[in-house]
Amino acid sequence: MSDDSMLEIYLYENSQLLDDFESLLLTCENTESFSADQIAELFRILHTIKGSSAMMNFDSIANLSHALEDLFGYMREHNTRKDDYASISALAFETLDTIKAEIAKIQEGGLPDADVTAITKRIRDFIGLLTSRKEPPPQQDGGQDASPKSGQALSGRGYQAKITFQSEAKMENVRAFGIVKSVEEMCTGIVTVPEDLLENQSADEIVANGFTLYMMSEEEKSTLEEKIREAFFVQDFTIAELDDAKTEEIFGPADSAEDTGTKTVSRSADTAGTVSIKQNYMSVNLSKLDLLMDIVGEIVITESTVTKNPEILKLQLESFEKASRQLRKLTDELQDIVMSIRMVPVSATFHKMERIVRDISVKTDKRAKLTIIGEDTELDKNVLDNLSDPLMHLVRNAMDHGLEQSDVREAAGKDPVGEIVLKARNSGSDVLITISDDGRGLDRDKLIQKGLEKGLIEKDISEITDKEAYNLIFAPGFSTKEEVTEFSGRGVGMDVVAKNIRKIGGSVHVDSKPGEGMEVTIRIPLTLAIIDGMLVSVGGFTYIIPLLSIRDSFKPGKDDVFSDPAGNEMIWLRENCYPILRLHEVFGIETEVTDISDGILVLVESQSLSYCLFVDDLVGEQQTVVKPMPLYISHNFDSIKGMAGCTILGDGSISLILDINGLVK
Amino acid sequence: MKTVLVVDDAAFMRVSIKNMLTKNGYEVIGEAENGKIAIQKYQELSPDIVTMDITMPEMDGLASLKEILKADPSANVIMVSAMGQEGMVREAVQTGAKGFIVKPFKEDVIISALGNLK
Repeated sequence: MSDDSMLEIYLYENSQLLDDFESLLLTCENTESFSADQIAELFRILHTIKGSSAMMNFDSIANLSHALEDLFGYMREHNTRKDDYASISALAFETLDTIKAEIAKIQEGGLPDADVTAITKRIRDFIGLLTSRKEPPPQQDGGQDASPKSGQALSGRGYQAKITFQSEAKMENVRAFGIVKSVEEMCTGIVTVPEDLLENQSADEIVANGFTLYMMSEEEKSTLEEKIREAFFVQDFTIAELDDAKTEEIFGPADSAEDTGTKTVSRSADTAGTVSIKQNYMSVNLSKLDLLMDIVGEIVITESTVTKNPEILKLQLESFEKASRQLRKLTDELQDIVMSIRMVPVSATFHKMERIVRDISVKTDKRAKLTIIGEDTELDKNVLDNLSDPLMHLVRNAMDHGLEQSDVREAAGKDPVGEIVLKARNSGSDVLITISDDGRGLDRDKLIQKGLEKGLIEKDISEITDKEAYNLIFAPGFSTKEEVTEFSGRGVGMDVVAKNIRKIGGSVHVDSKPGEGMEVTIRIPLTLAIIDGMLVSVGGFTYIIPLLSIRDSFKPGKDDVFSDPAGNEMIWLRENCYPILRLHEVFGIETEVTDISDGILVLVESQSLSYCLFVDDLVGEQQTVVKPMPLYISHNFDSIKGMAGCTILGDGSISLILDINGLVK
Repeated sequence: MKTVLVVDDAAFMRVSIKNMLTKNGYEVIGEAENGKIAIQKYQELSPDIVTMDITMPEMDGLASLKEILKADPSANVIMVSAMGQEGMVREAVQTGAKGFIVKPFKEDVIISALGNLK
């Protein structure tokens, strides 16, 4: 496996771990408690990150996670005071951000090279501070000196073994301990230099001076020698028999057997209680899924090319009918499965917002909580990735401009802690995401005044509905910000949010109740790749109108249509007046159907208005796979007005998909 | 060819170890992401050698080691630990782990450790 794919695994896994870490830390901060399970989990995550990062030689990340691991390691063994929690989470968040920044560097092809000495020192100092308080009794690091079986009289000959370990061995004291353990059964007495192998400093001593093991044993030298040779990473090893004087000097008179069993108190981390639901997931490269989706799209098309082939339709083939029905059923299933593979729950994206709420509430001194509802709701991965930024902006906006300061809230008789609710739910073939706050709400008059200033309002003020006024905030160039704040005021207005949401096929609108808050609703199609379309014919061409945009279609009477003073055609329909757009005129197509009563009007709804499209005829409904316009077309024509993409029809011909929003701009 | 079961909660570590071992003539016949799965896989696959991470969710390497040794006292288990876990490594050695390596390690370290096993 190449280094690149190792790096990919590293990045994937560690990003996930960092996300887990962050949400866990947020939970701890919110509940102002670090439970033993939570500490163990935080510790474990850092430990894993440290291990992988050290393997990859990403020292900065390894050092940061190591230092923080030590902090949680300390907390695991000692009680910490509640008033320390704020400092602990602040340190942890800072470290987390630094690690994230380092990971980001790697993702962009760089190396993690931040100088982390300052922050690791702060963590170490903090641990030092905690330790110096000498609070509750540290849990005894178990065990006593390793020594031979108790109660056994010293007998046999004395031996001296000198052992050095290879430089990469590490934990030399534990390795020495392992050797003692391995020969213990054969010995009646054991003395080691350094004496205390449980003390980690002994490792340095062994590195410097080697490990000397004195054994009293009835076994042959060769037997002991063989046993010791089994140990790992032994560099040099000599064993020699001791003379009597030396034996007595070391082991003392024959009856002074040390009486200390080798009991080691277990202090294995109690991680068993941590409930971690690991599902059987595997990670797949997204480009493979895109490819799979493409191929399934082709299959769907080919399926109808074959089964609806005009030459075959002429024949009466009963068994072919049966087989093609089965084929259609299977392709439908295949398509459903491929779509579901690409679906991911919104929870990770939603939980990222917790951090934003936390950071802003710390900095602005506003008290706020984020409530998440429906985090299991799933969205296409590509759609969700593109939704993250707009969501972040909307949450920031709610924090910055929506929620009031605690004292203002209290004065207004509200809960001093503001609430932002992030909610996702399915609605037909769409997913609705709402971001609502219980802040001050939007000010209709202010919005209208601003809209007038910016020249965004063409109607009479009295005709503007509340909804229209509120949705002015998404108009290009409109911003109600009176002051630019660190968080929302990054030069990105709500119009960019709206634009980005539209880019992924969604729509956004806002509602508000003055004094009670506002609610932004984002409506996004579940997936963009395959849509239900209505085929319409214009001249010799077929176009596709997304079924979701169609409200109605009907054959107009000649008298229903009239012209406005500018000569635009309009039609009255159920108390409403809609403009008519003749598709053959828009695209310059020659057709015999020019009389309004000969064709069909399709009432479509765009973001800004509803209007009627005049077409020759309706051909039928069909599932279509949306393909982007070929590059040479989109490249050579600045904007292909009114085109959302293209698709291949059952008979193999190409058809254009209409962009209902783009047609009227 | 000696068969190995690689136990680690980090997929990255599993892949790393697997790469190193495969390159050097070992056959990694199974992977486990926690101690519980390791016990199952050990019974299923009877590998010659197990590399066992210590800190893992569900069941840590130490508990898993104990269970494996209970079922097969001759099991060749090598602990994979990190600095700072001396206590647990010591307990593992005492319990009957055949040895241990310390993260981060290079290829020759793990190969020499495995080569040491009879």
